[in-house]
Amino acid sequence: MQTAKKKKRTKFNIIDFIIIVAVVLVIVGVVLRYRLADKMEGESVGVEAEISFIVPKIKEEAVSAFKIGDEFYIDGVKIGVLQSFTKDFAETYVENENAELVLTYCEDRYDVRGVILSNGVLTEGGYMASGTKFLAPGYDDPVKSKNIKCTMIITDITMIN
Amino acid sequence: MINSTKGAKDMEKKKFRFNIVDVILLLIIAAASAALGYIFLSGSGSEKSDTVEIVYTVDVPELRRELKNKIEPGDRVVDSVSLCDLGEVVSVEYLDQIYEGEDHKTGTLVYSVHPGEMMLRLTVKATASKADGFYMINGYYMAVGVTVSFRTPGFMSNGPCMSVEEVSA
Repeated sequence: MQTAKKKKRTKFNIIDFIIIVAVVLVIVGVVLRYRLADKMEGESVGVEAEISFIVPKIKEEAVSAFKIGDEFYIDGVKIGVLQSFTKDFAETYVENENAELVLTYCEDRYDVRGVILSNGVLTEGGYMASGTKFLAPGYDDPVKSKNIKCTMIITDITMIN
Repeated sequence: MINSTKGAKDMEKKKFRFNIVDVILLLIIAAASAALGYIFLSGSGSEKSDTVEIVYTVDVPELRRELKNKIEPGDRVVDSVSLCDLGEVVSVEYLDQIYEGEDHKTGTLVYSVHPGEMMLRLTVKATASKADGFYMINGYYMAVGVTVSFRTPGFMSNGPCMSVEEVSA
């Protein structure tokens, strides 16, 4: 009678099984999470970078919206702080009498070239501004600061340290 | 009489008790169903899935000259959206960007080199599966005409795929 009771008490049931599976899954999850975190940390290095850019053919009023020290964002991610910029008459290509393109300069539009000082991480896959936003030369999309929203072309990224 | 009713109830209870064998059976059935579902729904059960080496080219037209020399052979190419690996850069060429003008005196088309732009031609090698007869690189459909938004460690852009060729492994 006592043995039967003991047997009943140690019987393995579905609840036990679910609990064991849940515990195993939690352990596996924790291990994977830390291994992944280690891997990511191991492959990335915190860096400071200079992002060179050009914003072509904008009006003078827009040029005045570039302010040194302004923070620039892409998709809500801070990519850095405007360190310096220059403005030049916008390069424009027009057809000559032979129907070939020649370089000329448009005097009511400006090309703004500048440098943004950025903090991010350098991974095997490239530079990640603020550790999350991949950036590379060739980026040609909107950026914004508190004073301006414009289309910026990234022409170079140089790691400082 | 009371005892026999209780016994019958116990028997009935015992008959419907869920035990470890039932769990194992259910898991086996679930796994088998998942496998069958995967095979039939993905179509891989009826179609032969081969893995082949392919070489494809992507043209990036109208590229500013400042963006020259940002890619090197050996760089990994990644889809900008899904981040799937699209292969390894084999060669990088910078070609003249041709401008099509019109000679208004003669009414003929004049082709000349754009002085401020160039065209990047990227040749990439990748391993593709030929599931359903299409070239799929890690799930990414690759064929002539497909616009490839890509990134490498030092460059990002997009352009149409211009050629796809199978090469011997």
